[in-house]
Amino acid sequence: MSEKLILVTRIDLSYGDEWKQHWNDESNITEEKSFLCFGEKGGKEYKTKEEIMGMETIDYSFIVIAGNRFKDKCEIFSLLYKILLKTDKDYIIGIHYGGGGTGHKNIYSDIDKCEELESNEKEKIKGKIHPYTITDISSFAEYCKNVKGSDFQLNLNVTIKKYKKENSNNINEESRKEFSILKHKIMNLFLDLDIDYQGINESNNKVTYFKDIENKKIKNKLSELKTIFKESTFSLEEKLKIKKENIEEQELLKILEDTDLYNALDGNRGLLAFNEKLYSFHDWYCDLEYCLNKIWENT
Amino acid sequence: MKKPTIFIVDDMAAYLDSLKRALSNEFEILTALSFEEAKQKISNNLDILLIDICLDETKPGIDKGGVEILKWIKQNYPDRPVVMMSAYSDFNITVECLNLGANKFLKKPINLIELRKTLNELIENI
Repeated sequence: MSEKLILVTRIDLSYGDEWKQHWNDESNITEEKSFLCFGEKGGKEYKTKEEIMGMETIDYSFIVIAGNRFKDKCEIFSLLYKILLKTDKDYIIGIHYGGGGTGHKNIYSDIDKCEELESNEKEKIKGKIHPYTITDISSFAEYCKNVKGSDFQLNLNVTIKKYKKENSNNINEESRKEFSILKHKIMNLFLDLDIDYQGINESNNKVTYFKDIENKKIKNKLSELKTIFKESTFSLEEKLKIKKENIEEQELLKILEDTDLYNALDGNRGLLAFNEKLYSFHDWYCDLEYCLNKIWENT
Repeated sequence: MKKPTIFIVDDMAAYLDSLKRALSNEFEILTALSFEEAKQKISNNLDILLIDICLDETKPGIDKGGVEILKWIKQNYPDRPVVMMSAYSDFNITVECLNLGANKFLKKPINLIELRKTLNELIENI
C-alpha cells in the first residue's frame, strides 16, 4: 500500500491553529508528518494558492486547506484537485463541516461543480472523502490511521452518491412507491426532534428546555428508526448497500447515539460541545432530506 | 397583554408537543389531532390556524385531511388566517390551498424563525 496523504479542509478559520492541537491531542496520526497549510492570504504558516501551484511536486503528508472568505468556495476544491494531481499517494480528504452552519449539502454541491470542472482529469485521482466536525476529530483521526486505500467504511452520504450514479435507471415503479413511503417515515420520525433542537438553540435556558424534552425520547428515535429500516419493503441492502444489522454504525446515527447531553451541559466547554451538537443535528437533518430527495429524483 | 392564539392541527402528537413548547413563550397554543377534534375546538377566539395537509400518516401522499379542514374553516370562519404545512413539495396541492384561501404554505421541516415571522405578520394584519 502506498503512503497516505491526508488532506483536511477547514471552512472556518475562527479556531486559528487549534485544529493542529486537536489532532495532536486526539491521536498520534500527525506525528512525523510534514504539514502544508493553505490560506487565502498566505503568511508565516500558510502558503497562497499561487505558491502551491508553483510547486513541482507535493512532498507533504498532511495538508490543510482552510478559508471561509472565498467568494467561490469551489476554488478550494479546484485547488484540492490540482494538488492531488501532483501526488501519487492514496489520499484521504477530511472535509470539515458543521459548527458554523456549513452542511454537507453545500459541500457536495461544490464537489459536484468541481467534478464537472475536472472531469477530464479525475480518473487520475484515487482516494476517499470523509466529512468530519470538530467533535468528530477523534473518530476521524482513528479512521485515517486504520483505513486502507480501497477499504472505505460506509458513509450514507457517499453511499448515496455512489448509488445515484450506479442505479439511476434501475428502479421500477414499485420501488418508487416503497422508497417514497420509507422517505416519508424517516423524515416524519425526526420532525419533532428538529423543532425541539431549534427550540433549545433559541432558548435562554437550554438546560430547562432540554430536561423538558426527556433524554429517552432521543434514544427512542433510534429504536424507531431501526424498526422503520427493518420493516421497510424497500431493499436497503440491495439498493443502498446498507446492512440492517449495522445501522448503528452509520455516520448519520452517530450524532444521535452520542446524545449524552446532560453531561455536555456541564460547564462552558460542555455547552460549546452541546451547541455544536445542535448545529450538527440540524445540518444532519437537512442533509438527510437532501440525500433522500436525490434518490427520489433519480428513481 | 393577551398572547395571540394559534390553533395547530397535525396527526403527530409528538410534533404538536414540540411546536407548543417552542412557541409557547409568545403564543397561546391549542392543538387537535384530527378533523373531528378540530371542528369541536375551533372558535372565533382563535387568531391563526396552522394545519398539516396529511392527517393520516398511514396514507402518506394520499390523505389530504388538512385541505378538508381548510375548506370547512373558509366556509365557517372565512376571516381566520390559515397557514398550511406539509412535508411534501406538491405544487398542485400548494396551488389548491392558496386558491381555497390559505394565507401561506410552509414546507416541513419548518424553520422556527420563519414560522414566527409568518405568524407575526399575519397577526399584524388581523
